[in-house]
Amino acid sequence: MRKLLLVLCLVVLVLISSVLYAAPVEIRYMYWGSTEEIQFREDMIKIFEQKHPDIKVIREPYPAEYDRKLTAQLAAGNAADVINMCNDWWGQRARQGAFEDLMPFVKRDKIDLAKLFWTFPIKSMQSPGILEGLPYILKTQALFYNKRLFDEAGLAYPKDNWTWDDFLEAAIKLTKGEGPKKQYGVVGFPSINAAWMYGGEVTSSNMKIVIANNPKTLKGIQFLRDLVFKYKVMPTQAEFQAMGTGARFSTGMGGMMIDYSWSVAWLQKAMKDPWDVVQLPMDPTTKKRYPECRADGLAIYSQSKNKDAAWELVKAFATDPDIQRYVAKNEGIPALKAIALSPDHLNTFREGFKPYNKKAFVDAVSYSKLQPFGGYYEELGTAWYREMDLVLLGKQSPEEALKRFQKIGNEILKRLTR
Amino acid sequence: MYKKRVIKETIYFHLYISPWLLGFLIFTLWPIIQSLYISLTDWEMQLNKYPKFIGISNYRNLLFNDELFWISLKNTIYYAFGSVPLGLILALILALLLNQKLRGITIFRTIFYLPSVISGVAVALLWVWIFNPNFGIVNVILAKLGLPTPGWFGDPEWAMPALIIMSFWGVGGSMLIFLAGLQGIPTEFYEAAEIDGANLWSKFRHITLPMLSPTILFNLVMGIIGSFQVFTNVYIMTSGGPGTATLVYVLYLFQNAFLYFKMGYASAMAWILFVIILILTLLVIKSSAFWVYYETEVKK
Repeated sequence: MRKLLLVLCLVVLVLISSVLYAAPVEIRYMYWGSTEEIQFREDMIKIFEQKHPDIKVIREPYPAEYDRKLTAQLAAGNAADVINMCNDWWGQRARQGAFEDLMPFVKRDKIDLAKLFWTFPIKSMQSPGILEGLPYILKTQALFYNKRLFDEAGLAYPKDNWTWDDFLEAAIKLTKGEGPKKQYGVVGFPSINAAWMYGGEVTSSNMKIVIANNPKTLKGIQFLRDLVFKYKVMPTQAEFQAMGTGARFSTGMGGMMIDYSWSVAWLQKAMKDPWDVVQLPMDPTTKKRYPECRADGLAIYSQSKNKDAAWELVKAFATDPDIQRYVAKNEGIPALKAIALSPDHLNTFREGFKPYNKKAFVDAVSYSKLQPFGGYYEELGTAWYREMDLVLLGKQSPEEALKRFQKIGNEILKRLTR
Repeated sequence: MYKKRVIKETIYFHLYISPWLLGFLIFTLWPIIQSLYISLTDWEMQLNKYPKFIGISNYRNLLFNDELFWISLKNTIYYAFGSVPLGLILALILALLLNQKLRGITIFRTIFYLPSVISGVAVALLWVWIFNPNFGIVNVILAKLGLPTPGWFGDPEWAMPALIIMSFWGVGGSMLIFLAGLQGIPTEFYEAAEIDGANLWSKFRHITLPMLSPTILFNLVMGIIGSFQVFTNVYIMTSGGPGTATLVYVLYLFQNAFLYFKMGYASAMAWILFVIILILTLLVIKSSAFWVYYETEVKK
């Protein structure tokens, strides 16, 4: 009898303990990134797991070929529960039925999107009529400049009220020398910024048609071409082949470049000359500026079996103050507006970093645009860069390039968005 | 008794060959058949969407509506015409040089063969530096000699020549086959020719070349096939640029398949490439009747 009681007790104990120590729910999370970015995500996941011991995150990092991997997984019907995505996918994955609408979750948990986030990142993740992802980090553009070269040329540093005319004037004065060691005024100017600089567009806002062949876009591309061939203040494509944007700027061979916030980290390490950033110059007539903003977010796979657990990760990345503060401290602009705009974020810098005008990047979010070449639209990008290559090699006029791109691009979009 | 052994041997035969046979059937033959079917469909590997049969549309679009298809074909032919003949000549010269009776010749043979063992991405990155317009060793030497310094991979006119020059890196493979061919030529022929007073050139022209012609045929066919399939170097170094200067056939095929996910379209491209290579190979083999000499053959 005693023995039986003992056995019974043991059985009950085992049962209770198995309920108490229920195996945590496992969710798979796939993401891209360099070694450093992958480490950041790892740290963010760890913060999440500490707060959610009931959820175990299986890490699936892809340092390269992310989009191909995702397509293959979607085709096979076994994509990860949580998918790292970017707003420059233009909702195409969601339109394919790959992503769960997050709006019901947002409503259930009473998340005030309008109050917590900027309009742009949220809106850019809502294109197909559903909320395809929640942003957790933003990446914008600014004008980087080398202080030493400005000092040597006796020029005042760029200001936020600069127009493209001021930019050109400074670029001319910063250019000197000849041959391989020539110092250029401009060493980085993405062609998409040239297309936008005077208010031009490449595609319609719904990504249905290419409208690149218009006077405003043409004016911008002409400006870019003139930088190279008329004023000779920017290297030709062949010279860029010898030495790229980053190498030229970081070694003090270029006065200015338009670049993204993610370049800050390596410049802090690689560049000896003092440098800083300001907001992009403005269109002289409209006083508007057009930087690009990419928002990385998390989406939930529509076929996921653990949508609730997946949502916890999505929500935590975007709204957990601890995780967002970690983003602010280490990686870039946090998606949570309050944390991004806090003096704590704007005025403190990662260990070993020299202070820089972080506000230029944060300010850019509210008036930024979305590039039409991301993820699913890579083919459009390939066609664009092909034509721009020829312009910057002097083999094709901007008019011809835009005309050709409009024709080819429309064929591509017709197929992609049918 | 005898029969039992035959059965046993048959079983062993099939057992031992099965890894290769299964691999071939599952991973080669089946995908080939599949790709033929996929080439007749519209399939973008999307969620819950299966290949849609569209007949020969892909082929029609490729041949009549796709400018890039023709550009890529033209670029590939340019590459093949540059790299194959020059590569063969270079390999033959090297093989002749390495066929001398010298002390330490095996070391030289190893040195010249080594590059073809080391290949792929690492070598491609190395060549990017060699051809760097400002700091690359090629342009530094050209500048020292007072010659013009091209922009190589940054210049649409020079990008393809640069790729062709780079292809000679792997010349060691065909060199080795030539070397084997050379050593298969009986020395009696040369001795007899010497007695008849033949000079170096006539020996080469009338003994070496004819005796080596089967080897040349083999290297030529392999060279053509390889050059039409050139991919890695272009993918790593130029991604088809500048503009479309180095957009070669297989790179464009890869872009269609794995960047734009036009699987049907890409499969159609693969089959067109197959037909092109098949025709070229058949032409070369047909033509070989006029220039390849086989020792055992009796000419009618």
